[in-house]
Amino acid sequence: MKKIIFVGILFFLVIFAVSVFSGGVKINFDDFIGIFDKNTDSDLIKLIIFDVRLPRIIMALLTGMMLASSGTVMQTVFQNPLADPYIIGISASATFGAVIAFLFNLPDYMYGVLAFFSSVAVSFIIFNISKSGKKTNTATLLIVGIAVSSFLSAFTSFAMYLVGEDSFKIIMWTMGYLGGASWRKVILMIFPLAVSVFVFIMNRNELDALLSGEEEAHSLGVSVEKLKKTMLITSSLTVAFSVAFTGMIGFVGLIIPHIIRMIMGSSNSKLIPLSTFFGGIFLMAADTISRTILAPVEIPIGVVTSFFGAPFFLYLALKAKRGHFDK
Amino acid sequence: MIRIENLSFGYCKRNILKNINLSFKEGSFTGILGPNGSGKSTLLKNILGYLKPNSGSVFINDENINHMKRKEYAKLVGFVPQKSGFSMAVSVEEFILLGRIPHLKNKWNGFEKNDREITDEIIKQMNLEKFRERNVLTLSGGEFQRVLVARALCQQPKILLLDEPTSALDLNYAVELLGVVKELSVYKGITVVTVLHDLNLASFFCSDLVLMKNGGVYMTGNQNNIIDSDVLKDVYGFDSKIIEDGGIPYIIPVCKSRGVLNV
Ligand SMILES: Nc1ncnc2c1ncn2[C@@H]1O[C@H](COP(=O)(O)OP(=O)(O)OP(=O)(O)O)[C@@H](O)[C@H]1O
Ligand SMILES: [Mg+2]
Repeated sequence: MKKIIFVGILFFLVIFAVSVFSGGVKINFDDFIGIFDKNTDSDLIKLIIFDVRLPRIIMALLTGMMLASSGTVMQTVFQNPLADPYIIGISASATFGAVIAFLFNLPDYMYGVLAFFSSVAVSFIIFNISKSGKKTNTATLLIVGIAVSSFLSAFTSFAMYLVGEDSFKIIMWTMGYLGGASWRKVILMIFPLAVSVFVFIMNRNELDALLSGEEEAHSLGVSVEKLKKTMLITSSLTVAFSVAFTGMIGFVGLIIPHIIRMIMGSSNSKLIPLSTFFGGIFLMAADTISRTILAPVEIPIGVVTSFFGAPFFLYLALKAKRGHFDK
Repeated sequence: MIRIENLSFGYCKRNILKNINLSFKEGSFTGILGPNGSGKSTLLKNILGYLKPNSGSVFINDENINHMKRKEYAKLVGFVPQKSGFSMAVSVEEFILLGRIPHLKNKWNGFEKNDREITDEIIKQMNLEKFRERNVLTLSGGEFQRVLVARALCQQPKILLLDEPTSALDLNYAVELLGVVKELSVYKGITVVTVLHDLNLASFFCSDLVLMKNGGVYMTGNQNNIIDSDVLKDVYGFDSKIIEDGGIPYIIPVCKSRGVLNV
């Protein structure tokens, strides 16, 4: 445990540093030192670092944390290791809500609020449809996810035609884009993240009990139905706010929890905090790649995560055909 | 301690349990016997409150279990399923510790020192020390079954519901496990209700027996009236011979095609 935290902090510092120094405008170490030297004129550098890069890096970090933590919890609720908010259609439904808020010219925090309502609604639909057995059948879960995603994306595409020229903003939602980062958005995202991680950690032991299936969780004193609903609502909250401000970024909630499980086992006491932390680091790295690989052109971050995530998903799906968690 | 009144239950439309009336005294050790599919597991799950009866009720200490909080119920009743649904990698220790969930004082702080001490004690009692750090998924069927029992004991329940706790155990561990449970029942007054398929183990360990057939109670009593050739013939349909040792009847099945064994 100590070792993995140490490695995490190391990763974090390195990626953070690389991230601050890289991007469209080259900043070298002298420029950086210049910020702290009153005699040099460093306003531009300051502006780039403090108003462009830092909020963006932090937003990447928060988004990664949100997606990975909610992915971890959804996997337990659905008893299925492939339950990632992007794959099962919750991200698409959050996009739907955010696009509606956009179409009606609502203020930006409403993007998150509407995204929240639509994703809660959809996650309950998915939950009820796929509930037939004790374990959620992988095929059902994926089919429902695809159906929901396609249906709602059709709406989103329709909205793009509707608004015409302004549609860049909607495209951003469908591909994942961190370019619009600002401190204000950072603050709007911190609250839902803090609330959800608090709720997740609070219920870590009961989530562990749920790993044995409903019947045993019940016998261990867990109110199964209530726990699952609370977890779904809370995960939808984080997913909604991350999608509302950064768009659909896939597979983070799949890759990170899976890797942590392989290293540390499935106990939620370790899994939830570590997934959250490493999810943040992962997305920070992905964002750095998206900004630098074709600099000064920027590729959407969703493209980067899907590029790594989709093959990984395929590998998992083939390996865990029976829909079991395994080590 | 436990009282079941006019309980009927069905999955979807199929009626499984029909008008069951039973009671289990405090400190009793009751074996539930009956052929495959006769409704034993279903009965236990109704007592557990996981399945809700279509009619009738279950009372514990005269309180209807539907009116009890889940946590309070789980402090009182420990359950070992016939088959666990567990399929994730955690260590044996972490797994057994889950039995302390109903006793959690503060969800945020999680398990306390006291919880870990109790877990340690149970691990020793169940002879599981050498598995402590093992991933539960890598245990053998019998080892895992003992871990399941340990988790239920960790709840420090007044009542233990066991669904074929010895089905995967070799005779040595089967006797040892039932011995541990029997001690709890005799010295600590814990009420035990266990489904057993091994009629001889049931005859040896149980103070009371319930024999089920086709979703109903065929007969209640103890080894003296239930471990009987005619009764068993009627319920299970096989021929048998009863022998006695130390006042306890044991059963020897008689194989109709015995001839082939001598060929
Ligand atoms: N989830 C379910 N849905 C529908 N029918 C079920 C379900 N579970 C059990 N049954 C049926 O109910 C009947 C009683 O099952 P139960 O599991 O209680 O039997 P049992 O006495 O425990 O048998 P065994 O000795 O094989 O464990 C069986 O006919 C079984 O097929
Ligand atoms: Mg059974």
